[in-house]
Amino acid sequence: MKKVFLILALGLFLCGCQKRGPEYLVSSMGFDKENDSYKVCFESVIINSEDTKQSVKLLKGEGKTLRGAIMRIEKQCTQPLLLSHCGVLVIGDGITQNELSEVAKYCVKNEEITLSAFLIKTENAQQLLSVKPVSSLTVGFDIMGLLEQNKHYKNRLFELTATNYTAALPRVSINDGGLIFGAG
Amino acid sequence: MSGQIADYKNCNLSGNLERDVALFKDIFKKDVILRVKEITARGEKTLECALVYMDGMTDSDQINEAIIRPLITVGMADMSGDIADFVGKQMLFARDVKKISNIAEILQGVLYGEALLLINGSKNALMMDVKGFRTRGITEPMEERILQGPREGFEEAALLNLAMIRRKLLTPDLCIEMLRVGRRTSTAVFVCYLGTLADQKTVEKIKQKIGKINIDGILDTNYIVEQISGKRFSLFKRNGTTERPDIVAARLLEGRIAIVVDGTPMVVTIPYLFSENFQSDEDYYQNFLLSSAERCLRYFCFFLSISIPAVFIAISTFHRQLLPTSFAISVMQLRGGVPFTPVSECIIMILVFEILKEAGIRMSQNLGHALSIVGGLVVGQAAVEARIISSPILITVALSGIAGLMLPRLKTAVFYLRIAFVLLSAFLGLYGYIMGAMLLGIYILSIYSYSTDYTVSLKKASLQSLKDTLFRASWKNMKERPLFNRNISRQGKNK
Repeated sequence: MKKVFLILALGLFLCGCQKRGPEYLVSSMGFDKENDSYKVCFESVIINSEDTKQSVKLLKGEGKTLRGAIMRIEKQCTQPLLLSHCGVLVIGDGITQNELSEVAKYCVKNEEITLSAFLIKTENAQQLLSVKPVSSLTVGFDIMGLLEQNKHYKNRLFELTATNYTAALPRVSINDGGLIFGAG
Repeated sequence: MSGQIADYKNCNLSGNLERDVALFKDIFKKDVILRVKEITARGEKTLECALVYMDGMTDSDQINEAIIRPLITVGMADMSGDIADFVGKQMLFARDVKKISNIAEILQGVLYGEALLLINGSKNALMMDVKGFRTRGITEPMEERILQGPREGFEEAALLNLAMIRRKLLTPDLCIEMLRVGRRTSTAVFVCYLGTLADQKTVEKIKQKIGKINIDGILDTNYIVEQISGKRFSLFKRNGTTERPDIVAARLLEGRIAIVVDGTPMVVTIPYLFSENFQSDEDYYQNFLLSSAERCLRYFCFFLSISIPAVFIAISTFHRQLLPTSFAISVMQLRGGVPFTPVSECIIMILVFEILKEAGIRMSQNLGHALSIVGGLVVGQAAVEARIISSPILITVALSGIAGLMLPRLKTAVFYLRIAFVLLSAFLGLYGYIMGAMLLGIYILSIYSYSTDYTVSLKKASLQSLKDTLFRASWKNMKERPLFNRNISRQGKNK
């Protein structure tokens, strides 16, 4: 009994001695395809305990497969990426109908990504997520705020899977550094 | 001889004054407060006797006026028959005189503050009630202070406590039975109940259990409760304790049984219901609307107290998507740089809170305030700034601790449940918390307090049964007693 108690106590109180780096909260994900390779980018809020002000970084990865591109991004980070607050999935024009279902399936399978995340189309996802945010910390949050006000779009992840990936996604383009919404 | 009263169970007085006095002096040879006063009553006949009593436990005025003075001034008549009878009935002025011959019974009486009159030539002695020890006096109980209602509280002398209960229940239906418990202390334990309301089977069972207690000494009601409750490892109290006579009277009127122990102001009432944990003594002395609101708040605080740290741990560790993004960012930032895991942080803080609470209780009032300021504000702030503890955990545990203070009767349960829920949430997230809540529900529903269902009033599908549980209805609408089927109605004819 004493040994069990000792093991539990040690396990509980000593397991905290871990190396901690900055944490990455992903606000939006962008998917593109160029020259037969996937280009994925994660717009992440970097949370560093040393710094009271959060910074935003666009993490980029490229690979022959979607999984490979995402793994490249994961390797850049000291801590696991926090995907549960990712509210927008930006699909570049390079992604075809078949590839879109692949992206959607990956997101559905990943338990962390919420099924209520919005999907939008754009010419180049990486370019869109590089725009300077206007009202929020990240472009992802800006887009999410605009989409939440616009109820007639049926572009959430669960809606897309329900329509067998045939739903029309809203199109967002860049004009003078700002965002323009249009029909997909 | 083992030094216990039971050793003298089969011994009787010899009738020889010298020998009997020597016997008592021998029994109490190392007790300096025993007094033996030899008296010679003269008249037609000379009567030699000795008064044996414990100094400080008896009223010296009564001894002088009711025993010594009549023996010396009233002349002893030349009579035939039992001398003890004659002295007891015709000479002494003492209020309660009884004839006695068994040494064990004599010892019990003398040790309880009675005076013994040994008479030469009589195998019977006289035992007189001249108890008169000093007591603390009737004061308001520190732990059960109220703004409205009676202010008197019990004290250490059981007889005075019984008188306080009796004063509130002026009915011959109030039964008070005495038992002696403790091999060495031979403490007087009184079982009180209203004959027509209390469940007789439960009364008998409790008396039997108390009678079977085999322990050296009884110094408080908890000595009795732990031995008769059966379930030693119970998270929830299965008996009520109070220092207030009005509460005991109210519980007796509901058909409960009270146990009064000599030497302690704490009186135990049984059976005890789960809903009583959420009742305050003041509920019945103020407006029922206010009492009902406060009672609902106490139920909510119980939930808060055991749930807040666990839910926070579950959400911040496993279900971060449930937090709004800005709040999640803020929590992550504040948690950054803290060397411990959230669960160990939380358990450390719970323990620190308990230490501060206990230290505050044991300190004198002025020091207690200073300690709470130093402990709560200064140490808390310093710990957060030094990144030993993160501020969300500090806020969570403090909120849970403050909510727990609303429920003093559930402090044991709240402490253990808080830690158990935190551990379950740390291992299994919200699923663990929900599993713990379900197990807790099953556990509470399966508890029995002295053969009475712990949640009897919550299980009954009637509005009447809820009128003194979830809320407090007005007295006009509270028609039924909560416990037993017998004499269930509080109001109306012949109840």
